[in-house]
Amino acid sequence: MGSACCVYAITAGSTPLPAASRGAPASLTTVAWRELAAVTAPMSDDRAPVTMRAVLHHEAIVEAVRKEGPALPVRFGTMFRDEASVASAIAARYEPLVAELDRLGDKVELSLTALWGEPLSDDGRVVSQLEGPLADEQSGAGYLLARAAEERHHDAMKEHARTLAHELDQVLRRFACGRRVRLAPTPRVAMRAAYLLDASRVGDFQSAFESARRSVRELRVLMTGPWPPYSFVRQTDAHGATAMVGGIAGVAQRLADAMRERLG
Amino acid sequence: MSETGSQVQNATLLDLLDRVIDRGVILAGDVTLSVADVDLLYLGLRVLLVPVERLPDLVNPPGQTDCSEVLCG
Repeated sequence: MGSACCVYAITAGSTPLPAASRGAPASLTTVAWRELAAVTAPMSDDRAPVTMRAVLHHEAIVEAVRKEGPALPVRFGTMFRDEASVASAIAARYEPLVAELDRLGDKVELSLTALWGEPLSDDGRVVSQLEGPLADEQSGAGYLLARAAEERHHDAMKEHARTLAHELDQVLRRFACGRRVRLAPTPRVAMRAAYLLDASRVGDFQSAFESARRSVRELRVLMTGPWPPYSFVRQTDAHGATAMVGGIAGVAQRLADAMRERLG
Repeated sequence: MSETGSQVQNATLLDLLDRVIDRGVILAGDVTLSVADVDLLYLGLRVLLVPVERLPDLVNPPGQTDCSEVLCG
C-alpha cells in the first residue's frame, strides 16, 4: 500500500472513527494537528481513480464520520502524497477550520430544485404568455431583435422565479439558519436552493415543504437530503483569506445544470 | 422502478455530485487523479459529465493549470 492519503472529513481530534462494522473501511485513520484531525485512508498509488463508485464511497464515509461527531465534509478527490502533507495543510488553515467546524460540524443541508411545470418549446423555451413573437433571425437586425426578445423573456422568467422562490422561502426560512438560492439558472430550472439547518429540525422542514409545494403550482419542486453541509463551507486559502472558487467551479455548475435539463 | 422514482433517484444523484465534486472543504492536494489511465490535474468528478471520447482533450498541456477553457470549448 502506498503512502498517498485520501482525505474525507475534518473532525475534532477527540471524535472516534466509525467502526468497520458500520460500513466504514478498516483502513480509515486520522491525521491530527492540535485539536483537529483529518479522516483519511491510504491510496495504493498516486493516480487516484475518478469513478461513480469512488464518489459514493466518499459520501458514505463522510456520513459515517458525522454519525460519530461534528465533522466538515472535504471535497472529493482531495489527496496528498503523505500524512505529513495532510498535517501541513490543516496547520495552514487551522483557525478557519476550527471556526467552520464549530459553525457547521453538526448541521445538515437540504436541497431544493424547482422545475418549471409549463410546457417547453422544441428549443427548450417555456411556452407562456411571457413569450412574444419571434423576429426573423435571418437578417442581422432580426438576429439582434431575437436575442433582445430572448433576453427580455429570460429576465421575465427570472423575476417570476424570484416571486415563487420568495413564496417558498417565506415558509421554509424559519426552520433554517442559512440558505443559498440561485434563480433561473437554466430555462427549465426556476430555482435551486440549499437550506442549512439543525438536524433536529429536518422533520419540521420537510412537513413545511410538503405544504408549501402545493401552493406553487407552476413548479415541480424536488427536495433531497439531508446532506452534510457542503454548500455552506467557506473556502479559505492557506493564509486564511476567503477565496473565490470560480473558474472550474463554474464549469462544474454548468455541467450539473445541463444534466438537470435532461431530467425534465 | 417507475419513471417518477427514476427521476427522483437521478435528481438525488445529481445533488450528490453537485456537492461532493465542487463544494466542501478545499485543502488542495498534490496527487494526480486519473481517468482511464489518463493523468489529469485536479478536476474531481466533473470529468464524468464529459463524453468519454473527449477525455484525451482534457489532459493539460505542460504549463496549463486551468482546464475550464477546455471544458467550456
